[in-house]
Amino acid sequence: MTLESEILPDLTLAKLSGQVDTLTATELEMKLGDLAEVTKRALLVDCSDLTYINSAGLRVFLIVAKKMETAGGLCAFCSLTPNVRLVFETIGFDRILKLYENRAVALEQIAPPQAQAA
Amino acid sequence: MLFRRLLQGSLQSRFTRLIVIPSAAFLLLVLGLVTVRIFRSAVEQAQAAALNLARIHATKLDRALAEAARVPDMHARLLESGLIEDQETLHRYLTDVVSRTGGIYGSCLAFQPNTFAPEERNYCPYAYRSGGKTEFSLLTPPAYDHFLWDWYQQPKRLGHAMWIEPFFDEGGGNVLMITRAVPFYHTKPDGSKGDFKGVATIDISLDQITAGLSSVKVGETGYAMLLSTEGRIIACPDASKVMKVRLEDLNPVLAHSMMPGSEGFINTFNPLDQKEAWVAFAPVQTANFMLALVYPADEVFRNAYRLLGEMLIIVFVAVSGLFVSLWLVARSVSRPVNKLAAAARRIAGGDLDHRFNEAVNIDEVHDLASAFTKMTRDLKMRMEELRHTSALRERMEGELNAARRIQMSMLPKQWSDRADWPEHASIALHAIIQPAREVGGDFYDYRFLDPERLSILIGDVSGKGVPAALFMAMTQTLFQAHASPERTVSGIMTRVNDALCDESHTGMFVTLLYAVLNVRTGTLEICNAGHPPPYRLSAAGELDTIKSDRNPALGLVRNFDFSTGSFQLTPGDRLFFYTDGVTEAFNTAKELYTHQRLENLLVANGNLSVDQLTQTVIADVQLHSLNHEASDDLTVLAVGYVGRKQG
Repeated sequence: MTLESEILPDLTLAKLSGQVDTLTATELEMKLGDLAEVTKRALLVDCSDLTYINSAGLRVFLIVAKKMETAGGLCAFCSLTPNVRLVFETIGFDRILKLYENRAVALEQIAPPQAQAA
Repeated sequence: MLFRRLLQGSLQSRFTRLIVIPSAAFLLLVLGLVTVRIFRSAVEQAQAAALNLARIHATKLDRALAEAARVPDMHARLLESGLIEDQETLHRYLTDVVSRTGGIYGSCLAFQPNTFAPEERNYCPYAYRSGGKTEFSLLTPPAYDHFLWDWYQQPKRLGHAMWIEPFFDEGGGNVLMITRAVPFYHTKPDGSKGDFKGVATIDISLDQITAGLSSVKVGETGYAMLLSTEGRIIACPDASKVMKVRLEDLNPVLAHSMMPGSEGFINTFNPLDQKEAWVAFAPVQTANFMLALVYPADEVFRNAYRLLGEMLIIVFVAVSGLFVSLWLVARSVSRPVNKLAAAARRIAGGDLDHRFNEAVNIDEVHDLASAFTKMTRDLKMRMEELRHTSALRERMEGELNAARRIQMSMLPKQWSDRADWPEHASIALHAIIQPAREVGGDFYDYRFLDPERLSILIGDVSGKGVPAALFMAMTQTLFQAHASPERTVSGIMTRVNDALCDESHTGMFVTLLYAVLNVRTGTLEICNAGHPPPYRLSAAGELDTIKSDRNPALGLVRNFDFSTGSFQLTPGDRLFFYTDGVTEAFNTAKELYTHQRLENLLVANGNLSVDQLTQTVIADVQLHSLNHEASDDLTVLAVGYVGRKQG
């Protein structure tokens, strides 16, 4: 599991790659939690290279999303692979988390071009 | 190899091998060289001094003899001149000369018969010293016949002046003496030399010469020796040898070396006592004598020996001082090191309270000792920490084991132990749960809501360990609290979900399947909250998935209206419930177990009983994830619908 991040003025981009299982979930919780701390408005997690995730990983997503919402921010996920999307849907996360088809759509929704330019 | 062996062993033996022995060898080498030099220089010095002394005394003797030798010459010239004509004058002259010339014992004028004194065959006036006075006598037979003596015959025959070998002048001087004899002749009227007329002599007492020589100081125990032309000993400290022995008989080597007229310094034997000695010799030209100075060898080398002795003492003291100081240094290093080693052994033996309290002066060893003390202290601290930690861990483990027992006790008993349940016989059921750690987040439950309806619950709390276990316990308790015959499946789910949503700040949620089977009719109502759907395996061996509406996992969405699905089982059907720990078990190559493999396994083992089926699946999953740490809990539950038995 690796997590690369890019912090923009009003958007934090996090690219999550590899596998997230029960063992790596703790590490993800720490890293993504730290990222949520420094994020002002919106956190977008790009899951295009995420090959596997289980319920422990989803719990981390849930915690982070709740933390962002409590702080008045926004947390979204994009570019889910079919496997991961299946897990999301099986557990019902598609109902409670914001999911986008790909990064472009996500950025358009979260941070409109003019806001980005600013 | 040799060098490496030199470097082995204790510090002390290394010091000895590498410093003391080479130093001693070096010092001995230097000592050897110095010894050779000292002895050579001693010989050279002794040679120079001895030769010089020999020359001086030879010359002195020579001069004395030469001076005395002039007296008979004077007699001869006087007689040849014919100035003295009468016996009276001659006698007075002779007496006068002897009394006034020091260093001579006597003087004699011996004439041919009937020459100076007519009618006198034996005319030989002789003046000599006796008791401090000068006596005069005429030597006549039978007491003394001068014609018979060498001192008269030889000059007469040879016709020149000569020294006569020492002899005892019996009847003349009556002493051991050497004589200078000079022939004189008649003078012809024309002044030329005529016939032989007589011999003029002087006698020098050997005692006088010996006295002179014995006063010559030759070292401390050395002595001077005078040899005649023929090699006879004229003078030496041993009076018994004088005039009686030739040097050749005592020391032939020395006798041959001392060629008349030569000088030298040779290493030979002392002719008198045959001990080793150095002999310097020089000629006494006038009389053709040889003067020898004999130095005992130990005297020549006395200074050298003393110097050598002192040096030996210095070398010995230096080497032993070096040895002692190195020994002390080695000991001052090795003793604390040995004590450190002993202390280390004691500490290794478990005596951590042992303290190393040795005063050490050497900085390096002192550092070692303080490092050692610090190490002991740290070790003790670590040991106590470790003891504390392990005690803590043991307690934790004990508590976790207790928690595991409690958790396991919350699960229903084996189906075979539930024979008291109604309709037990129409159902076969077997479940296996395998937590990844001591306690886990998976759970299952089954109970009859009423005599006909059997509720089956299988769930998986997100995460694992103690938090998951607590959440699982809560979920299970909630189901037990809310499940009642009056309530619908959907209603129970909604209540439990709402209760769990209150705890949602933990981020925990639980995926589960809640199924209610009417064991009499075979109707199955199932509610799936984010859980993998179960399989149905028909008696014919066909496998299908029981697909009901999907609902979100419990604890995520409040006030959710859970939908259920309804299915009809036929006798012989089997249901297989599982948690994602089965299909998502990893192997060492990070490959998942997969649904496909599970389905294949179920189909292949469709004829097995439910307990065999669950065991087969667990065994296959374990085979897959061999050598890989289980990352998630595993739960399988199989239900066999037998149908209502008649009777």
